Amino acid sequence: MSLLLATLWGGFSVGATLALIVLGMVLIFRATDTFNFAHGHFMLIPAYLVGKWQVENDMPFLLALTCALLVVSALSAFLYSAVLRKTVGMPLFIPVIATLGFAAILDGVIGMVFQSQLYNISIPALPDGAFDVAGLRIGTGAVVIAGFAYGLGILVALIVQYTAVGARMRAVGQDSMLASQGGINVRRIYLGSWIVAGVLAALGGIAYGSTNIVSPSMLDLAFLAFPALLLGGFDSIPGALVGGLCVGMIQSATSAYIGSEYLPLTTYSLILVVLLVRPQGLLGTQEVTRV
Amino acid sequence: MTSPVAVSGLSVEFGGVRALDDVGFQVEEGEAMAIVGPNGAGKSTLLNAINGVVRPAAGSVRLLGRQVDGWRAHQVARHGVHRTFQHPHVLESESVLRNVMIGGHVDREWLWSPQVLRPFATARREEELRRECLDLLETADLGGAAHMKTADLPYGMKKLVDILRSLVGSPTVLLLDEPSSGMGEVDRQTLINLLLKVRAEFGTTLLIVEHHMDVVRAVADRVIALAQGTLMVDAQVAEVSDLTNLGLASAAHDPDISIPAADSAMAESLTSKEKP
Repeated sequence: MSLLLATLWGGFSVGATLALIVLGMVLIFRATDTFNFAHGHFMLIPAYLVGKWQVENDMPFLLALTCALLVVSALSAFLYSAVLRKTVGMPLFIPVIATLGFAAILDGVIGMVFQSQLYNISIPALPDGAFDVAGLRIGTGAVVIAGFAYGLGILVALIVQYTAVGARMRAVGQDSMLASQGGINVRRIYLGSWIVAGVLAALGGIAYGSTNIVSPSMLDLAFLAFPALLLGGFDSIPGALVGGLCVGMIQSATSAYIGSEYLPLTTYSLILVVLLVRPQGLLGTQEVTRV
Repeated sequence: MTSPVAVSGLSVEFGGVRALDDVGFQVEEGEAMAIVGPNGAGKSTLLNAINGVVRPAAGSVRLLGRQVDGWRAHQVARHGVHRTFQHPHVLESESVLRNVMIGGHVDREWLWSPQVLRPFATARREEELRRECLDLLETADLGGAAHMKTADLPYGMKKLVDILRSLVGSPTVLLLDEPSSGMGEVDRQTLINLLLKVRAEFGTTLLIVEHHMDVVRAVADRVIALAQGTLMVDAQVAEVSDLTNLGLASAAHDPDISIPAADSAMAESLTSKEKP
């Protein structure tokens, strides 16, 4: 019983971080038809920055958070406007390779600046205690963090579905030329999507780092975003949340019941099955099957 | 009143290729001007440069008394200069009526706050837009298709839907990119009637890239011919005795272009039929 509970809770909390990362990737895919391979770095760099500034410079959390979000926004805006905007009209794989190259550069920078050090992020307002549920001890702070992550994901989904900005984002994603004839500033929507995606990844990374440890192995977590993205559907915002949660659960269940050496096997087998049955993912649009 | 469209010294380059070279002309208020010329002459590029889709390398564009150099497409659209596309931009999954109603977004944006705070006024505005769009559909003999899924329409009708979309809100200037390519005889006649009605009722200034000389003859007052990005002819339609040869004549300056304009027009309308 307590193993099952631990499994569910573990999947839920990993899924929270994954959901935020995948959500960003969905926003980017909807806007610019690109997969961002540097998205894991957009998660890792701000987490590292907050950890480093907190530990080494005694910076208050809120200031460190703000600065880290500014850094990731700048990186995201740079990648879009200096690199990806130049690849408009080129074959689909060129922007993807460009993000891969950018990821390699960031990898090098992280190695030089942080030298695979480990940091712990402490969020001051987070409650310290823990409580027992049927013999399982759960930290209150971790619950708050996971709740925050899912809440943020749902908030973004609601914004995209029900606000004017969201309507513009969806219009630009559907037909950018037509949207521009509707008076919508296409470039601003693209840039906005990239920045929001970067900030979501950063928040996911910082949330994860506050309950776990900030280390380069967080990039492995980011790579799980790809199966989650496939599972939920490339272009579906609710799918991002569902996909993140599902992959979190699969991971957690595999480590608990089968053994963590089987993690890639179970995760990717399930994705393979989903792709065979529903190539567009659980909640994706039918047309998006080309990649 | 200055000319609603004034282009001077306009040049556009695509990585060393000069698509437009020092093009200049003016269109007077309420006038309809056709742009003819062989494929690759820079006709679409000219429209793209006017409405901010491509950045010119040199020259300037004045629209409705405002210098629009450096403006982006959405700013030009908000300024009252609408355009249509050679390959129609329609949302296949939506109804014909809703596709036309998209044209209303330039003037009335979709916002949630008025929907919540002033629901009746918003509903009335939407109803007005619906009426306007239904009337437009009626004008193009598409009233019966209003609630059909756009994907089910033939190519020529999709083009009409795209044109009707651009007519919502009565634009002061309308840029049309090969409106009749891929259209059959019947749709072409509907198009001619529609454009004539637009001129008569809204006084819209038209700039039409066109291959079909019957459309040019019926709708346009003036015609300019482009070849290899250069303006070759600027004349009143009534003064040109052989319109079909106008595109040819301009092409004849370059020995490399051997396809007569008429043939290339046909070739183009065929290819555009194949990729709706």
